[in-house]
Amino acid sequence: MTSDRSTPTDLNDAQLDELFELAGLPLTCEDAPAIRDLARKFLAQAALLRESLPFDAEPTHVFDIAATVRPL
Amino acid sequence: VKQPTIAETGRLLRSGAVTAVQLTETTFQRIDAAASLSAFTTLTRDRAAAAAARADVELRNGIDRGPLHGVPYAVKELIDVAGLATTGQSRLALPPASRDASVVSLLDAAGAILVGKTTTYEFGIEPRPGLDGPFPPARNPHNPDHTTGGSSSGSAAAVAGDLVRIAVGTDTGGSIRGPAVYCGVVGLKPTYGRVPRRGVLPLSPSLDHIGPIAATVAEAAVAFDAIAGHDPDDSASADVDTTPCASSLGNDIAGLRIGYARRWHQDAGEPAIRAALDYAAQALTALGAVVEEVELPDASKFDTVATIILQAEAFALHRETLASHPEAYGKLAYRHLAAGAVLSAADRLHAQRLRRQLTRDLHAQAFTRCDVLLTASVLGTAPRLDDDGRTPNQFRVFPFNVTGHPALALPIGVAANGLPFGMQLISRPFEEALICNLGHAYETQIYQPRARGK
Repeated sequence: MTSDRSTPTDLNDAQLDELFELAGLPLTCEDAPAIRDLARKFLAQAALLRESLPFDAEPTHVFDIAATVRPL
Repeated sequence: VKQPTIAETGRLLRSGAVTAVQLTETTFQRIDAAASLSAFTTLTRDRAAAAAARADVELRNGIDRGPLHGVPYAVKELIDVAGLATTGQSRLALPPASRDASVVSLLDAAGAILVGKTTTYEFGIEPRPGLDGPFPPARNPHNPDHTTGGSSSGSAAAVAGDLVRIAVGTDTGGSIRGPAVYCGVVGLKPTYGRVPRRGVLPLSPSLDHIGPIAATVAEAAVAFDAIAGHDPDDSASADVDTTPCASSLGNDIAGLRIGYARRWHQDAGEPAIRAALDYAAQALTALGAVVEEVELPDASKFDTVATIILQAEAFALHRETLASHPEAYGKLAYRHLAAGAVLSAADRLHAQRLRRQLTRDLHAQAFTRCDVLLTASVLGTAPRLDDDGRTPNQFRVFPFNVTGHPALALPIGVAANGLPFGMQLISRPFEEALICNLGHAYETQIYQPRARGK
């Protein structure tokens, strides 16, 4: 993963390639256009998710289903 | 001739009408004859022969390990078997596993006989079968031009093709339930943490589940009972006392409250499948259950959460080898793993926060009023192997990887193209016995698939 920051969804190829470089995975393969397309889809979903997250949603570090539903 | 059920096999073994050695030899004959299905990556003939001989000696001497004693089974290629490399269906040169995964140890302790490892989609990440891997993709026993779905593809093909009655799969985003539905068999994704994951190649540890694929719900229940339990070697393993599933089958379902999540699929997928889901809800009413429609949080929110978590965690696991050995990955696997690089730590943490919120919302909306949820599983049938994935089927399986609730997929019909489809039953956490009992009632009283493979 890249550093702890929000990722914009309208990055051009060069900006996207910079993200891959930073992650230690330079995009040099012939499949790079398909990888960029998929990356844009993931970034769009991440943006959607940020919009859906209530401001007061609990912080969490692990997923424990019993603890999550126990109060109910 | 179809294989006997596990219960019938048990009777034959204990009466002396058949031996485990004979049963195992017959299983390998079936597997060899069905090689064109590509259900297996590796066969464990020597290990199986030794285990079968041991089972025969034990049973003759009155040592009875229970309903799986002497019964052949298979495990997905992502699961460690001592002495074999866990390749993830990739070209990565990995050393042989030094010990069996917990699930293999548990099944062996129950006297079951491992006959081999089954095909998967590479590392469980490919959205459709990659055609450039070291093993050919599994073919659907109902029509070999079609996929089995993934990623527990060979496990579903092996059961649907009547090669084994039970196989173990993994499910990070529906990878047990999707192939089970596409192949017309049963798949149980247990509660998160209910089946130990030590020795299983992870894809996304906070979403990964392990469970059985079986010819019937009754057999899935027997297999689940053998592999469920606490394991201190799995940090997510739950230490919870639960009711065994197999002994719960046959309980009366009169008065059971079932929430039908009809709105989750009312405008999606194939009309015949939507109609079959409505029929299933009505049929359960006829069995005495009380069925009412329930509203759930938007399914797409769960899909978004799951996608971000899965892609971020899978990239983190593969980051080093993607950089150092890109040639070891098939094109689709590399593409889907590498693209996760652009997600940030904040994105993953946001997804985990929303996950908790969605889990609470779904649980409150469904399980304060109902005992079991009935939902769609996959709103289409298995695509052709040469399908390019541009018009994918819609799935309703991801939500329960996000929430961790147990989910049972079982067949409810066959489409006009001859391929099966199914439904999903979900219960509160750790109540697998409830959905197995309900599924068993459905498969014995409402719908018995006539053709589970050919």
